Amino acid sequence: MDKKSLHDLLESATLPEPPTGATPDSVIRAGIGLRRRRRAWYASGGAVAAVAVACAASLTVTLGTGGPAAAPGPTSGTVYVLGDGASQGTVTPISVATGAAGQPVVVRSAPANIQGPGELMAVTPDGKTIWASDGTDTVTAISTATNKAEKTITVVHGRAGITVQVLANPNGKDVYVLDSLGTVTPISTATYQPGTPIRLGRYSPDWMAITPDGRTLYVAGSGTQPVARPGARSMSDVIPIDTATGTAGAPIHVPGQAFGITITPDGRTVYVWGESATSLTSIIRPSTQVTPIPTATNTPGITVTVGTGGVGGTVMAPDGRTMYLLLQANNVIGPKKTIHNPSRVVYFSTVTNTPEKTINLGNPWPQGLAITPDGRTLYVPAASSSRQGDTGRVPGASRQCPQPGAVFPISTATGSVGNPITRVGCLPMFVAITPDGRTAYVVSGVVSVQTAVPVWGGSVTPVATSTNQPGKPISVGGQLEQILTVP
Amino acid sequence: MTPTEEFAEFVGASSARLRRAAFLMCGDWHTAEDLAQTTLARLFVSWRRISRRGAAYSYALRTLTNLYLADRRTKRAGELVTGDLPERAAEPPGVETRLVVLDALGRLPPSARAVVVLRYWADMSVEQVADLLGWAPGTVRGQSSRALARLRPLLSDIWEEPDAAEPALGDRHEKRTAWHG
Repeated sequence: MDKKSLHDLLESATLPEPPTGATPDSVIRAGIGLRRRRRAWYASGGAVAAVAVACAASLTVTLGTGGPAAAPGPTSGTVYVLGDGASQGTVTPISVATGAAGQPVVVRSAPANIQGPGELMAVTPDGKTIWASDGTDTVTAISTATNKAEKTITVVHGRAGITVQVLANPNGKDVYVLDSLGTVTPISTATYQPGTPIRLGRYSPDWMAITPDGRTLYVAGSGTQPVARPGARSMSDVIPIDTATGTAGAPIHVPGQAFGITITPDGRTVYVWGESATSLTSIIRPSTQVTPIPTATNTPGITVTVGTGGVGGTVMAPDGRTMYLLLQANNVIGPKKTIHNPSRVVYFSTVTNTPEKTINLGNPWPQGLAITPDGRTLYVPAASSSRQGDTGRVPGASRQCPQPGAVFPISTATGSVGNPITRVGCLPMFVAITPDGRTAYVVSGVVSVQTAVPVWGGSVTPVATSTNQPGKPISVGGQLEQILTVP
Repeated sequence: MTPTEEFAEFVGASSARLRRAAFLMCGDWHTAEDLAQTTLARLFVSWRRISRRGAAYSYALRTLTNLYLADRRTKRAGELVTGDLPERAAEPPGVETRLVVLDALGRLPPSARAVVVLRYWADMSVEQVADLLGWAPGTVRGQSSRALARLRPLLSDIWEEPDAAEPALGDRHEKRTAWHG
């Protein structure tokens, strides 16, 4: 037998090579899904407040007119779950009262192929219409009265362009669709007609948020500046858009990579949060940073580093005084051992613009953050029920779910982490809390046994917030991407 | 060219190579595909932060290796080494070599296997591997010489070592790559 060099032996071991299903497009979509997972967003307006909670996802909770309803009464409303099935994209309504899933509304009759959830669904302030993206180029208006699709509009044009986010203006007049090509398309909620697209130029957008008065839309992303030189500090651009005229203002430069925008309920300050990045090392081990921008001047304030580790989600307290940030554990992998820096929840004061308190979560692989409408409890969905992470054999483990997850309640007043809420599915990805604050819906995915890679899909489990007891799981088909509640 | 277009071009140019590197590390094409996809998706997230595009492939290899090692550690995934390959109408030549190499690789611990792939397949020097993995150069050197010692009897029939008496094949190899700049 011919002898070969080790390089040639290794090379020959890779042959014959099976065909691959991966294309640049599928990778980009997976990447956009991953990026979405890092974010969370909370915006609060008079009529509607929406919470999007991320890591793997976002989720939106709408609050009824006049803020959280504390009055007792039968739990009502509907939960809508956006899913991406093998053959179609659907929005499934679930009755809060009965827990029964209704007939799914098809928003795409082909595989959307989005890996990972996004902020692809929004509800108008009157709660009458849901606008759901199919993850690619269209949005569909769904009536919440009939749970039927009313109109589908193509909004994204161009190669490699897909929907990044759908957002409703609190004034009720428009819905905005942000696409990956840097275009914001307003759609009139009265006529269902798209307006003049607002083009942001050579810009890669990540996120948009709107002031509670609906007058200014802020888009975070990068690309308006010249290409950075090697070693140069990377910057992101936040572009303010006047919603009345549809014109974009001058970009506001902030350091690092902006992942998201949180606006205080009074509309005075925009918080841009993201990760630092100056070198390859900081890509591997990033720090989370926050930059305040007063909306009166649109001049960025001092950027504050709140801790090491990437940001896994943020929520704003309903009173607007504290922004909570979930910092992911970061593992420094060495040849002999791995150093684990734990996951943390940081209380960032919007009064002093400094981090005030840090809660150590251990590392149960937290996936996101949600807050109750009264602001008293944070819910953290996590991939493990142990704060030590993977502890080997755990009760309830199976081949399909070797490490069942849990949701950790945290008292915002004391910072104490409560007992994990288990039996909420294999991999709790995100939590949506009903406007009355009585029920938290936990969306769980399952983990691929082969690769330990999360696969979205699975179940929605209601949890009573008074007792933290889980109810019966509701099965919803497809990879679940977003959940939204309508009173 | 927008960053997204640049990224698409990078994926086109590098995905096959990353998938092959992943396959040599994990020994399973399905897992390799997942590892390569996850690596590229992560790279996309950081794409605009990678100011030096020339470093993108190194970064991808580092992410891939870390993903592979992390997967091994946290999930204790047991790879099944099997002599049965999927059925094929006609075996292409060299299938035996392939089996022997994969079996030998499968006997190495994950970190040593990663070092072998990076050094001898991806043609990286000890220093480059050390930098990529964030390990000390001595650790990489130790890992690779132990790995080679382990591979030597397993591959003796097919492996042409430049000088079998000299275990520092890697050093010779380095000189060769150094000449190429």
